[in-house]
Amino acid sequence: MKWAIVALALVVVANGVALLSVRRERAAPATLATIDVCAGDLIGGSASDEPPALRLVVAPESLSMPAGLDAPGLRALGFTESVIAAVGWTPDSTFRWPRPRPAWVRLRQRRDSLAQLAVVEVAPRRALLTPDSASIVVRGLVGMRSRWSGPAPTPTGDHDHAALSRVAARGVIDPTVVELIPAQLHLDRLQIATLRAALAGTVGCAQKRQAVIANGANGGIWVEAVR
Amino acid sequence: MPSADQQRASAIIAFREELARLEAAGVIALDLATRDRIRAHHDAALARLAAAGDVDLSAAAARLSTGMRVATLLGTIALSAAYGLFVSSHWGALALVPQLALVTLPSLLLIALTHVAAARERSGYVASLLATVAAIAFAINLGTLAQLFNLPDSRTALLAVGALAMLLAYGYGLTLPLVVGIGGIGGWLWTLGAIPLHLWWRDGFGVIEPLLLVGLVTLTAPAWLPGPAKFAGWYRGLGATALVVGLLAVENYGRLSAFTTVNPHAIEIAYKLIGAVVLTALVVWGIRRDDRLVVQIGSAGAVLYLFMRLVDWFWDLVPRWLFFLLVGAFALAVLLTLRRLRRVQVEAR
Repeated sequence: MKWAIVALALVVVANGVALLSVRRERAAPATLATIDVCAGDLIGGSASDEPPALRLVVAPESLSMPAGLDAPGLRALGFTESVIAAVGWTPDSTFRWPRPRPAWVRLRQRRDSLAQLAVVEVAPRRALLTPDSASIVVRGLVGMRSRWSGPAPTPTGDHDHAALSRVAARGVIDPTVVELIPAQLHLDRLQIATLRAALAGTVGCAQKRQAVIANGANGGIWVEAVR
Repeated sequence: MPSADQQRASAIIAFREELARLEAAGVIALDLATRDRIRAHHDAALARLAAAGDVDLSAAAARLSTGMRVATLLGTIALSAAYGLFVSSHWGALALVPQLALVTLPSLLLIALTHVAAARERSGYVASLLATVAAIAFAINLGTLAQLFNLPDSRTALLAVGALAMLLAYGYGLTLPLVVGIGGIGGWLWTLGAIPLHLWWRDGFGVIEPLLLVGLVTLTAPAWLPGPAKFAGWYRGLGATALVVGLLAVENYGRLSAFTTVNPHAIEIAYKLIGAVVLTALVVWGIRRDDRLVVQIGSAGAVLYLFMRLVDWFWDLVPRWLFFLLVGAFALAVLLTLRRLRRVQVEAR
């Protein structure tokens, strides 16, 4: 009987610790940021087998390098000097792709029609990212990828096609946020019902609603409200 | 892996069969009183073993037991899948409190049912099934809590699930939860390798050295970890498997090593040498301990290792037909060597 009691206690304590820490975190959110939500950002709900959630969609290409992904920032994340020195260069046969490193990531929503999130800052510790009400902070993994590098766009936004033929495009080593943790935020049944009803029949970001994302003092993140 | 009780029962049954053959061939003729004394002693021993647990007293019963083990495994997988799918399909329609109840109560209920089943059904099959599903339900519980509150995934869940499975395995002498427990705690230990490398815990699974250490610890666990005798084979089998799989992986993919800053080719060469020594040592250790499972796993690993070396050395050098001829000749050489070793062992006995 004592084994069963200890096993029961383990389950109760594990759940209790998780619930108490969440409750304490949610009692006093550190920041509240409002973001636009499109129909394509929603997952699950109603008859779906997937749990209802709001996807954190990060823009695939950042036009500017996020703060914290320069050489000192990469060093602070634990990347080796040989990897840092190779950033911006085409990898040769001796280059060994490093494993991703955990980091804290500040995301800010772009003001374009897609309303995707852009990574604006990366840091090894959350305390290094000062809270503000225009961005959200989540965990993430920073890794190296091969980015296609060609001639830069002209000031008008067009590509110089003559330059494209003169300079062969090549893949260069580029630090980037490869994963957000969590990659989606849970929505309760009322939140998903509200958003689904408001965005029903829309495609992409033709219509938008708003979600208030809360960041807790200890790194927690949740959807506080939708409207 | 037969338990100590099963081995004793099998020895008694084998003794009876051999005695009958000897008597039929006229080699011995026991007097009636002696034979009755032996028979009564063995009958009492078999009755005691049968009452104490799940012991097969005939070949037919053993076949049925195998079927029961398969059914236990299938039932565990099916029940766990049913519960996981039920949770995911009803999740979105529930408020917070029913959501919490849906993920928390099943593991509590299954633990209580394990206790009842272990007391009522001595074979342990039902208890084993319930305990394993309880551990898996607990894993679903922690996973859905993390999803519900956007908590980052964590290695601690592996430890918690492994600990629960171990509690039920040791508390009620159940082997299937033991496997889950070794997997959970072993997985947790494996991911600890990510800490000094500044990696996210999940990426720890991509580093092989901690797996080799976990394999070594698991292999030797029966020597320092008290528990039912029937658990020892599972520890040694899983430990040997972790060692073999880890070595075969890292000797072919040097980038799986923790020492990725070193030339991967040099790492692969080093692990090829280490692999040759460790796999040989594993087979020798298994033979000395008379542990059939460790010998089988070590031999399978050694054969795979040698086949990979043949590919490394000859695939590009010789025509394909000659390569496979060499492999065939090599297999024949291994066969003859093992046959000679077996003959030496038989003669020594």
